[in-house]
Amino acid sequence: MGEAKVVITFETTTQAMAWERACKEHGLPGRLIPMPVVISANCGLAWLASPEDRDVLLRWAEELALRYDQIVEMEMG
Amino acid sequence: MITTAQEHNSVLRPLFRLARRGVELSIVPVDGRGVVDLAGMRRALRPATRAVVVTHGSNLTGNVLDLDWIMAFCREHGLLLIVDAAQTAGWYPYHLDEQPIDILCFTGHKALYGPQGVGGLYVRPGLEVRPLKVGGSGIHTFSREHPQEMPEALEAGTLNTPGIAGLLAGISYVQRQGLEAIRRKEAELTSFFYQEVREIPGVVVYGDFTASERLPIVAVNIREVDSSVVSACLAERGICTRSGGHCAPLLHEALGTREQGAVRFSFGHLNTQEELAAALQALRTLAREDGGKGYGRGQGRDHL
Repeated sequence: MGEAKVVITFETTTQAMAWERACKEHGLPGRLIPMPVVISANCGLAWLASPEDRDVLLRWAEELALRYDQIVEMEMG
Repeated sequence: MITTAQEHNSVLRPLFRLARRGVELSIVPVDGRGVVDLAGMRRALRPATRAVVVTHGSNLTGNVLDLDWIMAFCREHGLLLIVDAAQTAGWYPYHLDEQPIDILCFTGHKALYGPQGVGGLYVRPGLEVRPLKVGGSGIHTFSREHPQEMPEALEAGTLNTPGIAGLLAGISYVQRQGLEAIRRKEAELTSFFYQEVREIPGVVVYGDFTASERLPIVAVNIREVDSSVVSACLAERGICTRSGGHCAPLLHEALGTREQGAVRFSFGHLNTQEELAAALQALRTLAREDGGKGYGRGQGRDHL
């Protein structure tokens, strides 16, 4: 069994970089990973976090007007 | 489209290419000091005019356009404004969130203190620019179309990451020094150099030095001497200048220096007054050795 994770995907690399920068600045949890192929075979970057961090991440995303594409819950590892 | 005679080839050649494809191009003239005739911009206006493309500051004379006037002109007539900020990014405090500039392009290797081969393009949000290139994007691998989202739409291929890192370091440096402090120092150096160089017999200075603002550039010639000869002689004394045409063909034609070119001094805030004094002394020597004989183009450096 893998570990439950939240994966946030982006439409562009620029969005992913802006997300990473904001998270670092505000001490938010998670890290950038290559886009999991099970979500999309289209390459790019995604943000990996724990399910319990989902709400705080989304609150900050709204507050900072950060753009993202999808939020996917999956098992990894 | 409207442009000016003080443009660099980086602006002129794409416009000439568009002109060959049928775009009507109006070129606003400059006067004998290289100053753009803004009234000529009104005369150039046509019902079909869509855009104004201007370099904010000349890389040859150091003259600076009245950007406020041009922004108001474009707004009044509903024209797109495209600004070449190659000379002015890092010198002029642009506020693109407030100023009606539709596109602004800049290079990293001048007043931003970055390396050569890196630059940037600002595109007003909502404005669509058809990409010149398509290719790898790092995203949407299985799509046959290049991404349309900005900025990826205009970033086909691998980015120049080392160049971008260098540009970031340069911009950070400018921010630490402060734009105003850099400008003040450069203006002092330029004023000192100009006041001295204009007194050297036989030296011709180009550009408008009556304007309240100008770039830290002074272009000169010694009588009719080939600018490359003067530049080479200065280089032997450890003084780096740029001779020739400076990729500004229309401006050189307007200044009457198409054949001779000009010797361009461009100062940075790290230059010192002592360095400028040495350059001035070298110019005095060269002008005196020429002895008013007016060695012309192709005479060779031995004559100096």
